Amino acid sequence: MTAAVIEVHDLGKRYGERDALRGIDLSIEPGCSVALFGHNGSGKTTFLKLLATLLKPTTGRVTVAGLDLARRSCAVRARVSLLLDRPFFPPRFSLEEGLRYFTDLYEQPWDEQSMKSVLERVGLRRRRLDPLNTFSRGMAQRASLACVLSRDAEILLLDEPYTGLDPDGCALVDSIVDDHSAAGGTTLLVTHEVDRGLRRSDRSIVFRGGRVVLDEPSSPELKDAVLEVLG
Amino acid sequence: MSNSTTVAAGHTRTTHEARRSRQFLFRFGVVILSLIGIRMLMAWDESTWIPWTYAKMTWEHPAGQLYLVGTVVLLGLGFVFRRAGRDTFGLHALQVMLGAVSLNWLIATALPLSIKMIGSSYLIFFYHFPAAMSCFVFFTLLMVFSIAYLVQDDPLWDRCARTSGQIGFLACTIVLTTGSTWASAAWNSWWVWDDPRLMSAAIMWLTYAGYVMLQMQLDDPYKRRRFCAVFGIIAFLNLPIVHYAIQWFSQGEVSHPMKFSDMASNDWITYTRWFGVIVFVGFYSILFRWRLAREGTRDRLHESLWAVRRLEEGAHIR
Amino acid sequence: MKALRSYARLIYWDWVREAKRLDTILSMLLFAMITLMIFSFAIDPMSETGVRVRAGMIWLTFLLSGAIGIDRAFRGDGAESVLQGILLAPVSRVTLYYAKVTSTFLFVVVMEAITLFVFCLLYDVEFESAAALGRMIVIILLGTIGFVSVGVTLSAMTRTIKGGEVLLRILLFPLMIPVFAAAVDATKFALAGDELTMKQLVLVGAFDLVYLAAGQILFEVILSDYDAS
Repeated sequence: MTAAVIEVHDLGKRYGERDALRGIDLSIEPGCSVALFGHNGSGKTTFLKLLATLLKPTTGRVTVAGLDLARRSCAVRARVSLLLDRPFFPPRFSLEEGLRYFTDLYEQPWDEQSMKSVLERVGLRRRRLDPLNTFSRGMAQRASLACVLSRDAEILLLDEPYTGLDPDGCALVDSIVDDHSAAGGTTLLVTHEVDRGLRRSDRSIVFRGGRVVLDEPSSPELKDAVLEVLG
Repeated sequence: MSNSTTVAAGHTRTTHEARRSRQFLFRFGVVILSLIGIRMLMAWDESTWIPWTYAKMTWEHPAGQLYLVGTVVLLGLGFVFRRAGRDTFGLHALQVMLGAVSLNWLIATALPLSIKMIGSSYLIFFYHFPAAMSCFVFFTLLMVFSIAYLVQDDPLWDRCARTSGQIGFLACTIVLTTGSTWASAAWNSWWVWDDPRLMSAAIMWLTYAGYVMLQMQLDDPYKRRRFCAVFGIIAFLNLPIVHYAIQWFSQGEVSHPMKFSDMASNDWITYTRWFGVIVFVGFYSILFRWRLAREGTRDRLHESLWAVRRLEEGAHIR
Repeated sequence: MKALRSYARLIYWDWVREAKRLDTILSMLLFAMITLMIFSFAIDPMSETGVRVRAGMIWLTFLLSGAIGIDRAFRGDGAESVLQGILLAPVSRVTLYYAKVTSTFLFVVVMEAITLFVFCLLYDVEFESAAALGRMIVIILLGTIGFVSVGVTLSAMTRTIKGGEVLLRILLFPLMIPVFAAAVDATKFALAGDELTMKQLVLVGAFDLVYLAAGQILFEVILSDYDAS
């Protein structure tokens, strides 16, 4: 039994008089890929943002890779890669410049060759000199995936990575998750596509009203249970 | 469904708060009456002190007439509205305001005749100075509450800070308007641009106007609390710097008395002025208490709605 | 050491971003020119009123157009997702604050340098000696640090508010009055070729220190809970 890479103890996040999350206890082993399901507002995105230190927990203690989230947030951020719905670079940068900016900001070495292969992989090689504000929704999502690929973070936090992507793109996300798991990394995947999420993960967690209501190893048979809990 | 229950809960709370504030008003009345009693006892050996003279002066002076008529009208209106089951907050507030002003007027007239001979311009100090003191008190409280909010993250502290901001701003407005009115009579101009005191008061007013505006413009309660606490601290930090900057770099001479002890003064004026400070700080504290209750009701309603929106929008921050 | 490297990195990328279209610097500069023009209609700059009016004019121009630069620190096309990216990067908030202050400071100083040059040309201002010019530069740099240090914090605060541009100015300008008063006073001295007084330097310096320290702490408070910011 290896030590857990993410330890969450009694985690809670309050907005005024309402709890976005309460009493979350989880521990996730390294190399595990976890699918998070839940309706809008059930707290799963809040959970990811707490792990990525964008938010501050109201109660509870979180350790990521053995580092206390509250005290060593900077070191935690170096190990975590969060995918949100937009890429993080300035809209006037070309994709290549953007990636250069991104890798520099995240203290990654810049390597022309590997960057080429990343762009090849996300299918944007021919658009690498176009400015980012000319990209469509799906293209921008692919650019975000390129950001994720250009880092070697231990933990991937993917917030609805399938939105706006064509079947090719979805397959790309799947392959990213698979490769990351094969390399021993941990993935947390938030998605509304239950089938895909179950296939892509070792473990499924369902959030409802800020609580974990289901936490089981993933299998195709779990689908009915998940859908039932989701209501 | 959940929204309607929230509104209903807010409503019952309002009436509850209104009842509580009526009780509070009563207690305030008792305190004021006892203060008047103490004041009268203090002035007992003054040869000029004759209750009847002051009653007559009250009636003969326009402000006294306004007070007497106003009180009767407001009491009547309050009675009517209470019968109809309305919230009588505004009326009570007005009544207390008139009460405090006229009380202070009584304080001022209770001065020995020898001082009254100097002229009515002295009367300003029993309105203006207490307002200035209360405004400092509330701005300091605002900073303390802001820090408390940032440390403890409790919405109550934010509500206290917001309310002290509003009350302090009100007091500051009163300082400026009474001061300016007095200046128009005493210095023959409404505003003197090169007087340091006046300028720093005006800047303080502008800064806290910004604070009140920030409170108004931020809709999202989580942002608002945090940001307003930050600005409350910055604004307070700025006060001493403004004070010295203006003392050092304004070109003019000081027309405004920098210290009240500089003025030709006797003990009676000093006592009366500090008596006025106590009364006025008490008065503003009443307003504070009321406003706090109202802000509490508003927050509960507002916040539950915003929490829903925030949870729904979790994924897309703008 | 690591913090210093990320500090330099953030400033470098801010410059690269600015160099794409120069929009912050150019809009500040153009606005400053327009302000100087309008002044010449409002008051006769060549009249006997002398240096005092000129010192006031130049600082008012700096204040009004510098506010544009401060406003742009966290606002603009895609600024929010860029900020998100920086917040997720292994950079502490304190480093981010100082980097933002520095890059905004540099933009504003570029604007101020050019504006001062144009101002001296247009209004026939001549510095008696290099020392007088040096004193002018010292006071401009010190004043700008104070201006930017509190401005960046307020800018981070008002960035998501609709109409926050106006609110930023409403909040910022009253806070700026001490440093403005001292800077105008010192500029008057510098334009007249006199030595700066201790009071001027102490006040501006104290303002800078207080607001850099307070700004650093409060900036962290503002951005520590991103969703609530």
